[in-house]
Amino acid sequence: MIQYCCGFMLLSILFFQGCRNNNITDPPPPTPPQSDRGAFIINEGLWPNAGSISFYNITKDSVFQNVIGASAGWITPNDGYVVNGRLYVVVNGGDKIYVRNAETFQALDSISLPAGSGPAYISVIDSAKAYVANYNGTISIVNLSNRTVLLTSAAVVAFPGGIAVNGGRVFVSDYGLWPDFKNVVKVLDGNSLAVVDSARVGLAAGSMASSGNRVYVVCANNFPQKGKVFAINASNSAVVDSITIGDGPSDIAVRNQTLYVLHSDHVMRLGINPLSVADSLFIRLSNAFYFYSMQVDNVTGDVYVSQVISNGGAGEVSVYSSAGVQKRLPFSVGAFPGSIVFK
Amino acid sequence: MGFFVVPKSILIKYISAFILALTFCVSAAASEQPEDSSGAAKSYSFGEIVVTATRSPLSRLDSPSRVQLIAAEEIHSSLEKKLGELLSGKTGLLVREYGFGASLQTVSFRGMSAEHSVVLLDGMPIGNVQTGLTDLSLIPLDNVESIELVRGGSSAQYGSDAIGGAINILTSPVSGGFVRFDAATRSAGSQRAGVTGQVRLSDELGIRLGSAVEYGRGDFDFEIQDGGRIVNAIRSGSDFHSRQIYVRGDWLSSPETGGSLMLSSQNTDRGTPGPVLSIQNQGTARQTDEVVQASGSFRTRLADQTRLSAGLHVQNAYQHYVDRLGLFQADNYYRNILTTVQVNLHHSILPNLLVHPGVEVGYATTSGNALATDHSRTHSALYTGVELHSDFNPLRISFYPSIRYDKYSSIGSSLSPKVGVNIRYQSGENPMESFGATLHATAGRNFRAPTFNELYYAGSGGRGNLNLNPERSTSFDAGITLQYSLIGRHEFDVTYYSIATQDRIQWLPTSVTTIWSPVNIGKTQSYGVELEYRWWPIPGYLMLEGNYATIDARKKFASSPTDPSFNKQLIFVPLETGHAGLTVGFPIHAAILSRVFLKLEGSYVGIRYVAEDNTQGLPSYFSMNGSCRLEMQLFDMTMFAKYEMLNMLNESYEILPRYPVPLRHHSFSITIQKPL
Repeated sequence: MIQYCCGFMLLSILFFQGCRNNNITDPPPPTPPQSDRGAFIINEGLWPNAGSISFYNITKDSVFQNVIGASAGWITPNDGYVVNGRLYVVVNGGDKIYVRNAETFQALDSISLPAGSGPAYISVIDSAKAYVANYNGTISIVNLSNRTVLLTSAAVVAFPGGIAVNGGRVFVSDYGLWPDFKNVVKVLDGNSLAVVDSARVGLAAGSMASSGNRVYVVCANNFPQKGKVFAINASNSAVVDSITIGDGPSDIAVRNQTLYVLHSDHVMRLGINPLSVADSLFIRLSNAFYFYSMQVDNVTGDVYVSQVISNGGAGEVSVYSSAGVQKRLPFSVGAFPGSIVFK
Repeated sequence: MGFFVVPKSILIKYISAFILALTFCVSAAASEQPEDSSGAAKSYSFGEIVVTATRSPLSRLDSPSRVQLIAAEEIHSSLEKKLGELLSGKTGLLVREYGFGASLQTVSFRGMSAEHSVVLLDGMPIGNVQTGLTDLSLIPLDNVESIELVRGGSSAQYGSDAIGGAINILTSPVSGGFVRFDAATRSAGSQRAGVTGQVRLSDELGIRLGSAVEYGRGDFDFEIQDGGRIVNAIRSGSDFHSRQIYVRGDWLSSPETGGSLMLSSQNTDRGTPGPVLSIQNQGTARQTDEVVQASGSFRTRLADQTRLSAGLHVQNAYQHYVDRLGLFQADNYYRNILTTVQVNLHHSILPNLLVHPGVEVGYATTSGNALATDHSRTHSALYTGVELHSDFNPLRISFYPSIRYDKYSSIGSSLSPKVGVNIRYQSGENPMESFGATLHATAGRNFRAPTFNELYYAGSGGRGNLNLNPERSTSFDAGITLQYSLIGRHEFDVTYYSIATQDRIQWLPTSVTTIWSPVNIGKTQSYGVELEYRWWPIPGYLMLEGNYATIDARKKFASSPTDPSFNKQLIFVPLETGHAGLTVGFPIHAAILSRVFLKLEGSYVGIRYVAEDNTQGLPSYFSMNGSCRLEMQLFDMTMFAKYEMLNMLNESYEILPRYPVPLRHHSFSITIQKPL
């Protein structure tokens, strides 16, 4: 009897031990050709899972998944920038900026922002200085040379929608939070982070882009009210132009005299002086759920658009020429590809 | 994440010593004759009567569906636990715990979602009509006599939500008089104190009063990956404070005519910090829940072969979620009032032919700051079940056809047929000793009505859809149960199941990426095999049990032509689950000590994918609990003292990503009951 009882329990334990099969690990990181031009796709991941980074080698037209995989434990990487051979990735969940070698992807360092700040967007001035907009409404100045946070402001917005730097001043759009969407862009001194001015724009002020002496901000408005793009004079913070651009714009990018606006199912192309619609259906969504993010390659003028193809956020990226012709069929990336960064 | 915090050799030694100690005690106890049939295995006897599978009292072995019963003894010795903890490890169930203490707990059957389980209180639905998620941590156990778990589709009996299965919480009638005091302390600063008193005022009237208070700091130790490293941390922001009070009156004019009235109130304030994004950022949200319930029931015999039962249940639930310091600040509240009336008939046309028709009428209202306006809906249902038994000794064949028609004011109607069959062979007169083999099977159509959020939400980031249809499913299961005697008594069951759902409600972006809305597009297929085994080597003293289930639950629709999640395992659904337990109860005549109960159990949960393309997953885990309960008699008082070590192996695991559960922790409780 005793042997039977012992045997049953031990067999049960050993049986369940035998069931354990935990072979779900990141594949070994690839080694893409060094120094080729490319695009990092920052995949937020299916929250609260860790995100990842994919890499598209533009020169060789090849894709590398998980060059930084989920094992890195980055909870919601939101934005990034490549400067001086280094990839800086803003990770919301960890309140950190991770620094990687942009060629080998090896970990170099991390920069800790104040606990609970929730870094969201980064705007880099040069190899030494960057500004970060945090979800708790604060702005941080980061010294990229010694990887320290120089200064973090008090909360200047309710919920940031984007950040841009122009002429030594920092522009932060205030998206607000439902049901209290905000309609303002705060203008901060680039050294002291003191609020020196503000510009009244549309409700739910979001993504920003800077070109010449202008800063552009896309405002989603309170659905079903139509969205708008506003142009702000970077010198005096005055709104100098605006245009209505339809339902729910979510991202914006600028190159030369062209502004691109991302919607959930299409991309618009705008002229910037004055703001005018050049092509209301520059790119159309097909075979996907919705567009998620967009960026323009300043070297080639190609437009990179990420799209979500499943409920859980599985992502793809397509490449279009500046004429709107698809140059690259969609390639798979990680879940919720929220930002595209060129090197 | 490492599995063994202690070396495996020490673990085996540890468990072996425990088992040897148990079996030594049993050997000593086995030389005595049991004084009565009570003991460790009492709650798992063979002839249990269950009511949930067909809405009619039925021997568990005659049921067309597999039914598990959690009996009063197990419930009343675990008042410090939450309902989800009691259900953990049951066959085919997955309990998702979002932490410890008073954190959200949900349950799902057979690879379905939490919205696909109907939760009943004495046969009345008490699920959350706003979100569809019933939080098991908010359901007190003090007034509960038993819990029945029915696996498989049950919409023909219970209507909406019964796609995966049904959980019926049965309250206890007032019988006899006693006063009971219980107190418990658990790790992470959790305390509980409760008092229950009941008395018979006359032969016909009885009343019970009860109250309990619980609170805890919720600051348990855990391990988690933080930026690629495994770090030790202390959970913050998950404290809780809960109060409940209830009163129940029973009236019994004859064995067949009687009724009851019950009123209960529960108030819980708790930290709901959400996933751990980093050890510095563990969340700051809080939630308040207030639930007031009133119910009444009446039953009588209308004629020799006809019984009538009726019930009324009113539930007023308020929830307020606030996060003023977090990244995603929120201040949301809603209130639901759900009123349900049922009238049921049980009529025996012939000795072996029963029908039990019924009617259910419901009215639900919702208000809150995430809705454009207040809303309400009416619901009515007609249903009937038939039991046809044919005895061809030693074979008994039973058919259970049933059908239910539900109509909602806002979403149309649904027809849910179901047929069940049970073919039982028994070699002798005594089911406790003879060989038995039972074939059981069910097939039916089931549905889930859209929730108020899915219909009317107008808050941040989403819009409800007034054109939603109910989710629908087709379920089938079939199995065989064997009972036989060989060194004690054995029961073994193997059941195959499948559930195909369609029109699953999915939230998708509208023409505006930031505005999501639900639509009926989803399809899933879930199937698997469930094994259950129980062995009573010394009935009344010792029981060993184990179960194992495979769950193949796949997404069967493509969101886009290249959707990598098509035909992949649904996220958060484990590929397999298992449980093993050893329970010992034996008498000891030493001073006031009269009986000792020892229990050792382990639960295994397989890999849960967290990425839709199944490339990322949470590792499987195996956790063990052990407890020792002493029963004592002092004068006419009965006392129980229980110590429990939870997560004995100090396993670091997450049921859901970034929601850590405590490492090894402890619980001690004492219950004193005095007859009146």
